[in-house]
Amino acid sequence: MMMRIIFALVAFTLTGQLFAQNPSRRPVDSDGDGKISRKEFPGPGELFERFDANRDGFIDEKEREAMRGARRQGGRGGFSDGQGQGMPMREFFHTLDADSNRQISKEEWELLCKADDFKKADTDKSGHIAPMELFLFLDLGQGDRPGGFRPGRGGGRERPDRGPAVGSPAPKVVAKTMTDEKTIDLSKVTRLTVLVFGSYT
Amino acid sequence: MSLQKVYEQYRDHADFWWVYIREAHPTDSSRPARHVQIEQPKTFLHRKEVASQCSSGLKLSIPCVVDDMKDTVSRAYDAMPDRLYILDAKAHVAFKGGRGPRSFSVDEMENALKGLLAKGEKAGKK
Repeated sequence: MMMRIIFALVAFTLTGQLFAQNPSRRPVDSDGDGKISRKEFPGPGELFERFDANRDGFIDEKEREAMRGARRQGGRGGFSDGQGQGMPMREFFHTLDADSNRQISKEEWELLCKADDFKKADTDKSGHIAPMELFLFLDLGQGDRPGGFRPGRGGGRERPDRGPAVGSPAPKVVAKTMTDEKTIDLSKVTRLTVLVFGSYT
Repeated sequence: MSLQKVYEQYRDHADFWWVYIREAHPTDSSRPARHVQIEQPKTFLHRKEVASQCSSGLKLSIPCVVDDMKDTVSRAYDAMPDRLYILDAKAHVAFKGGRGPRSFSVDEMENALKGLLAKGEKAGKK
């Protein structure tokens, strides 16, 4: 579901350009053969392949219609949960792009996303992430939920909390004591027990 | 109140375990901590050593258990990077603190602990 929504959003950003009626713009189908070749396509190759459903090297009228549909869906667009209520992709980009220079720097990325994913998303190795790179990164399913959105920092949503709820049984896990490696079963406590999770950093 | 003080004050009424988990900002991460330089332990033995350093460095005398290298405990409690829980005598979750660092609150935990102890005493009298 998420792939479909992201696909729709990516399509939304491009189709305005592709189907613009404004004659002052360069027509995408520059040779007028009714199909968009790979060379005529203004977006990156990966995206062309997504639209070229029958893999014949052209986006024909039927495939263009599918793109229009994707664009309409993109208008409602949501990202993250498939319910159409998530953060629209464009807004997500702006949330990350703290200094509004239309690029996401490594520092900006790490505020909300996994640090390891920066290199994966920065496909042209420019040291920053452009809007299209973000779209493609998510589209390829690499960032199913990049980092966790934190409330109050851009209005995003928080990473789902997988910790046990109040009233539920303690998870069946054990840990070893630091000094003598005695196994402590944390699911079998018989007294009020405070668990303090943490590390040095 | 600091964790150590809460421990000292309530240690006779409740058990305390400090669960040492994966380092959040080790030197080999993209955002290393500034206050202390720790490399992410790669073995359980190393993790134990760092736990011990941490215990003395933070002047915490809370008994320490160390999570395994698969981070089983930390994952089960969604505890990264730091978090507080209280389990009751029947091993059910009685208090769930927020995830750190933003929502980590010793005061909140202490209030919950006070409440739970009072509730326990009341039930004991009945």
